[in-house]
Amino acid sequence: MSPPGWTPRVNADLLLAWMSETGSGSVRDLRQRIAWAARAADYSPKQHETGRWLRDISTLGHAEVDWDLGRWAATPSSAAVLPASGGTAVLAGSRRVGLAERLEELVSVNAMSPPVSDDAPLAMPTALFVQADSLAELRTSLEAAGVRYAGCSARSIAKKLQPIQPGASAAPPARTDAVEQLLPGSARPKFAHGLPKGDGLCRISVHGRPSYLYRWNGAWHHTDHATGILLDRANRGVDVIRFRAERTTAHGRVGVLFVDQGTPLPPLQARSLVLCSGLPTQFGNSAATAIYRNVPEDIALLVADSIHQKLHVIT
Amino acid sequence: MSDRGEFGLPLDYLEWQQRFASEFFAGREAQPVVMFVDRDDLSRLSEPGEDPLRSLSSAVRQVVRTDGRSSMFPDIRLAESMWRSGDRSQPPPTLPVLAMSVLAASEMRRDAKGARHNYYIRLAAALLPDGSEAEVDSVRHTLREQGEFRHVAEMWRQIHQWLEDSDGAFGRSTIPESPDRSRIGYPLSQALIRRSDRAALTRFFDRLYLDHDGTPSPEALLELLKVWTRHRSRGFSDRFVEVLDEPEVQGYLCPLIHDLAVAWDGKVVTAEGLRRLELRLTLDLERGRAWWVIPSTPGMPGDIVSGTVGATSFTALLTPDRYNSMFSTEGLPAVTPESLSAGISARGEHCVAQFRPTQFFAMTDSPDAGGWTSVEAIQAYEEHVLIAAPEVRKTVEKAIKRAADPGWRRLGDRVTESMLGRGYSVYHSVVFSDPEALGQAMDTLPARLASDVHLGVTARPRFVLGLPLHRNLSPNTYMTGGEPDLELPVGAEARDVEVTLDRDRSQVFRATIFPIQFSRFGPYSFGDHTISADGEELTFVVKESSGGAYDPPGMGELSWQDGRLVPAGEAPAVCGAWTDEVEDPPVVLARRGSLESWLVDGSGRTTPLAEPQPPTHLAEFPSMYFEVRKDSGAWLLQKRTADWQAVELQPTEPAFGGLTPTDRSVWSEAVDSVTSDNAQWLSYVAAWMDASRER
Repeated sequence: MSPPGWTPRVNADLLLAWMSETGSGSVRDLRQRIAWAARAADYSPKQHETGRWLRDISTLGHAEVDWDLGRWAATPSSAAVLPASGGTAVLAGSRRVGLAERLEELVSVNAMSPPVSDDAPLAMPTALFVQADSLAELRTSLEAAGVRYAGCSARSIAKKLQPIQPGASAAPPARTDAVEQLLPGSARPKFAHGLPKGDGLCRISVHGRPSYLYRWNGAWHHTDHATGILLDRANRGVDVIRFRAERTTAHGRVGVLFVDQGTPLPPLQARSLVLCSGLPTQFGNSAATAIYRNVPEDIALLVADSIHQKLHVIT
Repeated sequence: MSDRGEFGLPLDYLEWQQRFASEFFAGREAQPVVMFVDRDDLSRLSEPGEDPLRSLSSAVRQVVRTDGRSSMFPDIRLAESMWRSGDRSQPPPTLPVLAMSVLAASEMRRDAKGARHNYYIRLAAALLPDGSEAEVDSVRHTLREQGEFRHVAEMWRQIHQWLEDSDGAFGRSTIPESPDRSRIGYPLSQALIRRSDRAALTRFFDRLYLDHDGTPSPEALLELLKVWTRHRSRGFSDRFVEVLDEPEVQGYLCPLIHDLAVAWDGKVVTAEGLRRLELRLTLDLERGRAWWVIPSTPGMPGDIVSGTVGATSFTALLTPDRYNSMFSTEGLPAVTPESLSAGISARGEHCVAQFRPTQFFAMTDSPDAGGWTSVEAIQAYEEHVLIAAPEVRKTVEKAIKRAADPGWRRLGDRVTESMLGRGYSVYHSVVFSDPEALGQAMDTLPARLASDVHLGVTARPRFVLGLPLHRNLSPNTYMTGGEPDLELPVGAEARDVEVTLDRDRSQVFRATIFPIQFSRFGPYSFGDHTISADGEELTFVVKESSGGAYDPPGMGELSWQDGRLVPAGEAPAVCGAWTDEVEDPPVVLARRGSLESWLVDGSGRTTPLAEPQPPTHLAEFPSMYFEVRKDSGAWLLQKRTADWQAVELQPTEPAFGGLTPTDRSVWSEAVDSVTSDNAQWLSYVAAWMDASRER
């Protein structure tokens, strides 16, 4: 699925194994080691690319990342059953040395190298898919290998999604702050200097890092990058999410979900969607969209609801 | 003649004895004792208005005969003998004599007249500061030609023995037991490291990561110190840097520096013994703000420091912050062009905080400082902000163009001026990842500017990066494939270092800030491996994993609850792919590729079931099963090439009726083929038998 002649720009399996053997640590330290592993593969990554790699690792459920506190922690090994995929489950979380070999003795294990894109050039760990003759047998075998059976995580996470909303009340930006506003008209979210005239999203710098404030009904609130942009899009009635059905299954239609690039999804929304296929978010370079595959329509609806979007179905 | 005191010694002499006892031994328990004295030290130990040298020499001459008689030291030897027969709970009464001998050694380079080898003339001159040339030469002759100095050497042996016998209560002796070349080796050994050098050594030790990596061998330590000080004084005296290359003193210097390194308490101090703190410039590029921060050091209490910037005085309060690596500060001056060009020094009861002015600053992002903070040296691959003073702006920009990765930018003049004043240039997003380009750029820098550009922070070879295991338990264990990089100390001039792996594979590397990636030279067998460089041998251990019995700390400590990421301890709702409400899909798996598939309800009626399309995202793998909802009937019957399979969907009591010919055909074939002792299936078989008999 990767371009011909492409070589991995990082040994992602080694990094995930190391994260699993290490347990937890600081984000800064981990990003240095991601960059180190990339250099060992003769690629000098840009600063944002190591952050992107870690966000994708978190979206796949391998680790949780607290960006505010600068901490990461691997998650215990689990297997998420993919919806409408004949009982296939994807392995998530800790992947300590020897785990794959133990599983191979108990269930059928298939490996796939996730594709890379220009936006995310650092390879993701090999996706490991497990299958058994029945879900009951799968569950028993997983537990024997020390892997928690998580059922259909995509759907159970989607059901837990909280509707996005502005955060705690905040003071307006100070006069001395260099304020940027999210431009209301542009198709792709873009910031420019100045305060918004009405409600809208602002970006300021706190201790040299971007911080986001959202003005809603005239009152200022704290928010984060993803939530702020999605609130802005929703309030302006801008559709950012589209669904195209590919097939019909026992549980209804299953297809591809497209999300406009530049409107990042909050972590759990993104995780719910990538656990439909077990593969990281893909990006369409021409259409500038994030692509999630094998998404049942009911999960797409739950995600859309949580970000105050109507699910626009395309044919 | 003065009054007499203990051991019949003059009170003037005993006053100096007391001063030196306090200077050398107070608070030195278990620490290496260096009995260094020079004229500055004498001034510090003297009373205001007192002529230090004349006061000391006068006191010493009361117990040392300088009148040309052959025996110079009988009086002080007698006093020492009396001390020896006592409890020896205090230092021997020879300290002023010994200090005088060190003073002479420290002066051997002060003028051309005192040739390096003519130690005795310096000692004679120190004893007779107002003596005629003939008188001085007479004493020199007695000391050297008549061998009277042997008694001073014996006093050195005695104090060494006393320190040894006192078991560290007064400190540990750094006096050589038997000097290599001559008796003057005793005072010479003590004259090599002055207070300011000793203070500068603490900074060197800090860069050796002694806590983590241990102390290098005495010889390796000296070599590393030479690299550290090459063309950069680093706060050491000229004489100290000079003697590093003098073979005749290295026998004394090596063990002395090693002793100091072993005994170092982890504190970087000034010559006065105050903690040395760094004032660092910090910038917020977004807001256009500049301020000072001071990194805290372990064990350093708060302090009130005072200093001046130009004509303006300031007093600042420094308070340790347990949640931040920087002191919380109040009262530090604003950043001004004057403070940048002239530097700042602020002194308190416990510390001295300094900002050394340079034409060039490198900065890295510091979350604790809240912005970009000045650092000592440029590091490979790290993102930097660089600042150039007006006079070097063009040269620096040219060097950045040549050496930095694409993507760097110069900050607008308006923002720069609001932070630093007119003329400075700020470059951001500067990353160096090309060793050759950086080397070429450094070669083109003017000497003065080059001396302000420091590359790399380590003072010894050390391991960095890689994928370490058991970091809190074992300093140098790495995962296979994640072997460490080797970082070499970088001097002010290019140097090549021979690096040997496992004592049998050698290669010469240019020492740069770019670490050597040893993982590229693998694969490595599990177990110990060594790397030798700069006289040091480092060991790393390669393991496959941290071990099955080891629970990686913090695993699962972050999870989601009510849409918020929360730490361990709270009941998690989502952690990775796992949730607290496992949703088992209400489906059964049916094999693909059947000849026929039928759903059967409780009445025995059948409905054909078409296989759904396989998932497209897993097209690389065989799709063996498809899902059938459990609520779609009681049984799934599948006709395969050889036989029929019956898969239970959901428990339903059979109540057959209204069967069509197709239903009967399916049941007839399935019942004959399926072999199962499932009770539900058997009840359906019985129902079918009844239904078929009723026909």
